[in-house]
Amino acid sequence: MEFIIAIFIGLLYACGVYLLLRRSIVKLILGVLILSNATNLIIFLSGGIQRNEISFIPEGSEVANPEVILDPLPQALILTAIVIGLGIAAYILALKYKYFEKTGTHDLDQLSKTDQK
Amino acid sequence: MRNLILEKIATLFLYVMIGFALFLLLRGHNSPGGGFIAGILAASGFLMYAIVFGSEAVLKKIVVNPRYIIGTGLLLSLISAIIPIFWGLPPMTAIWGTLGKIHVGTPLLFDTGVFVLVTGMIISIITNIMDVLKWNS
Amino acid sequence: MIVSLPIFLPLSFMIFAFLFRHYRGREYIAVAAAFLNVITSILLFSQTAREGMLKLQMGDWPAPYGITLVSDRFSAFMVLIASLIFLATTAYSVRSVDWNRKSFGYYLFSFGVLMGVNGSFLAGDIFNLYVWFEVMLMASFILMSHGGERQQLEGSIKYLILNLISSFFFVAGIGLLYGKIGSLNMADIASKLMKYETMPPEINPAFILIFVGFAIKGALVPFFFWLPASYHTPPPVVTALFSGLLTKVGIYSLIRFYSLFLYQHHEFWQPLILGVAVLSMVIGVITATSQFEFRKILSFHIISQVGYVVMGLGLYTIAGLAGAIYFLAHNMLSKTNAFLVAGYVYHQKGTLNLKILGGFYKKHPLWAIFFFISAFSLAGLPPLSGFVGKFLLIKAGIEADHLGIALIALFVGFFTLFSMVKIWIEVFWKPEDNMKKLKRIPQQNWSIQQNPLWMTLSSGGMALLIVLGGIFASPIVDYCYLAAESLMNPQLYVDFVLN
Repeated sequence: MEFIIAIFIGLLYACGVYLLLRRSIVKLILGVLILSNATNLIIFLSGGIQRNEISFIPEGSEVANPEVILDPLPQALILTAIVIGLGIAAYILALKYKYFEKTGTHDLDQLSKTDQK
Repeated sequence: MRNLILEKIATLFLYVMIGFALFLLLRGHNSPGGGFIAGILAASGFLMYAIVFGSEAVLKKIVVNPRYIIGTGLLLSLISAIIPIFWGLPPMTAIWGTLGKIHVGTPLLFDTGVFVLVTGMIISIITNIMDVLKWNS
Repeated sequence: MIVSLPIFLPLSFMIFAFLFRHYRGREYIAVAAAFLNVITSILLFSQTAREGMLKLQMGDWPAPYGITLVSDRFSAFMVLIASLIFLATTAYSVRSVDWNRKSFGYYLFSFGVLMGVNGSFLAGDIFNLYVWFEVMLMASFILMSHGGERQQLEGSIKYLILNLISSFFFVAGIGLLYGKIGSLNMADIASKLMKYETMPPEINPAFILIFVGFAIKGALVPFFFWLPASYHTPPPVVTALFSGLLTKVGIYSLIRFYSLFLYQHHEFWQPLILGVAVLSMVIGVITATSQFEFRKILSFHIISQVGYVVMGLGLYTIAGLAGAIYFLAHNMLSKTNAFLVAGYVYHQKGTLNLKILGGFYKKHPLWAIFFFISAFSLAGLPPLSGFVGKFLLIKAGIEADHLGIALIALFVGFFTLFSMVKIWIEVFWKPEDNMKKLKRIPQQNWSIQQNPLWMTLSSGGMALLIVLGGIFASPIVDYCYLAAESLMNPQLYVDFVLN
C-alpha cells in the first residue's frame, strides 16, 4: 500500500512541476494546488499507514489503548495544511482574476515588466 | 427559469444542514465532529442556497455582513484562549464546569468560535466569487 | 504568560481592526498598539535576559506533546528589534500610506505580519513554526498586492509562487522528519538526535528539504530570485517592513535549526553553508552595482548582507554566532531605515531612478543625514553599528582559520561602500538637472503629504538607534556573546524545555 501511494505522490509531483513550467498563469495555479496536495499526502504517508481504530478514548474508560488506535497527529497536521491551502487557493484565484482584469493576458512572459531589462 | 422543486429542496437542505452542523459541533470533543467540520457543513447548506437563489438571497438570509460573522468567530476563540489566564494557567488551557448535568468548558467556546468563523469565511468567499462571475443576473 | 503576549496583542488588534473597519483615527490607534507591543517586547526581553530562558506550554500540555513557546536570549532579542522596526514603519505609514489602502485594512495585515514574525521567533515546535510562517506569508502576500497596481500584481505573482514552493519544501521535510523521529517538538527531536552515535542517513534528506525552504525564504543564493523581482513594487513603507522582517525570519530559523539539529552532521553542513554564504555575499553585491534604481540596489544588498549572517553561522564558533546575531539586528535596523529614506525620496519626486534624481542634500539636509547614517552603517564605517558587526564577523573568521572567507567579506564591504556612495552622489550631491526633471508623472495614489513630521520622527528614531548601537556597542556585544553561548550548548535548551 505504501508503495502505491509513494508512486502516486511521485506522479502528482511530476504533474505539478510540469504545470508550473507552462506559460499560462492558470496552469501555474493548478500546479501549485496539485503540489500542495502531494505534500499533504507525504505527511499522510510518513505517519505510517495502518488498519486500526479511530483515535478516541472509548466511552467509560480513562485511557486509550495505544495498541488499537491510530496516530492522530498526521491527520491533525494535514487538516491544518488543508485549511492553509484553502486560504491560499482563494487568495491566488482572486489575484489571478485581478491581474487578468488589469492586463487582459494570462501569459507568464508578459510578467517581465518589473524586472531589469 | 424558476424551478419550484429545487427551490423548496434548497431551502429545506439549508435548515437540515445547519441542524446537522449544530449536532456535530456539540458532539465534538468526545466523538468525531467539531467546529471546523460543522462550519464546512453549514456553509455547504448556504452554498446550495446560493447556487439556487443567488448571492443576494444568502446575504439577506444571514442579515449581517459576513465580515462581522468572521470577526465574531475570531473574538470567541480569542476569549476562550484568554480566559484561563485569569485562573493563573497558561493560555488555551481547558477549564471545565457543569451546567446542570452537562459538561461545558472553554473548548466548546473555542469550537463555537471556529464554527462561526469557518461558516462566515466560506459564505464570504462564495458570495464574492458569485458577484464577480455575475451569477444569477 | 509574558511569552504569549507578542502573539496575542497583534491578534487582538487585528480582530478590532477587522470588526471596526471604518472608525476614524485608526492610524493613531495602530501606532498606540505598536507602542504597546514595544513595551511588552521590552518586558519579555528584560525577563529573558535575567533568567536565560522562558517557556510556555500552551494548553498546559507537557512538553513533547503540546505546543511549546520558548523564548531564549536570541529570540527575545529578535522580538525586541522586530517590535522597534514595526513601531517605526507604523508611525511612518500614518502619512505615507494613502486613504484607500488604510481603509482596506493596511493596518490589519501589517499586524498580521507582526504576529507571524513574533510567532516564528517564539515557536518551539516545527509544525507550529510552519503555521507561523504561513500566517506571515498570507499577510505579506496581501500587503504586497494591496492596492492592485499593475506592477504590484506582477511582483506579487512572482513572490507568491516562489514562497509557496518554499513552504512545500519545508512541510515535506517536516513530514519526513516526523516519520523518522516521531516527534515535532524541537527539543525532543534534538534530544533524540543526540542519542545516535552517527546520524542515520535517512535524516539528512528531510533536513535538506527544510534547508531549501529556509534558503528560499531567506533569499540565499541560488534561491534569491523572488526578492529583487518583487521588493521594488509595493508602497515604500511596505518594502521597508518586509526588508526588516521577512528574510530575517528565514535566517533566524536556519540558525535555530543549525544550533539544535544540523551541527551533529557538521562535516556535511559546514562547507555547504559557508559556500552558500560566500556566494550570497559576492553575487548580491556584484549584481547590485549594475542597478540604477534606488530600491533595487538596496534589495540586492539584502542578499549580500544575509550572506554575512550565514557566514557567521557557518563558522559555528561562539564569536561567529555572536557576530551573526549582532549583524542580524544591525541589518534589520539599517536596511529598514534606508528603505524609509527611499520612500521619502519617492514621495517628494515621484521616481526612484538615480539618473533623474539629484540635489536632495540641498533641499532636505535632515533626510540626507538619515540616509548617510543608515547607508554608511550598511557599508560598515565606524562608529556606526555596521562597523561593529563586520568587525566581529571578520575577526571570528580569522580566528576560526577561515582566512579566505574573512578576506572575501572584507572585499564585499568595499563593493557595498561603492553602491552606497553611488546612491549618495546621484541622489543627494549631484545638482538637480532641470532638463531631465520628472519625465514620468508621479503616481498620485501614493500620496505626497505636506507635513512629514511622523516620517521624520520614525526615520530619525531609527537613525538614532543605529548610531547608539555603534557607540554603545559593548553591552550589546556582551549580550550577543551570552546568546551565542546558549545557542552553542543545545543540551541547555533541551533540558529546559523537556523538564
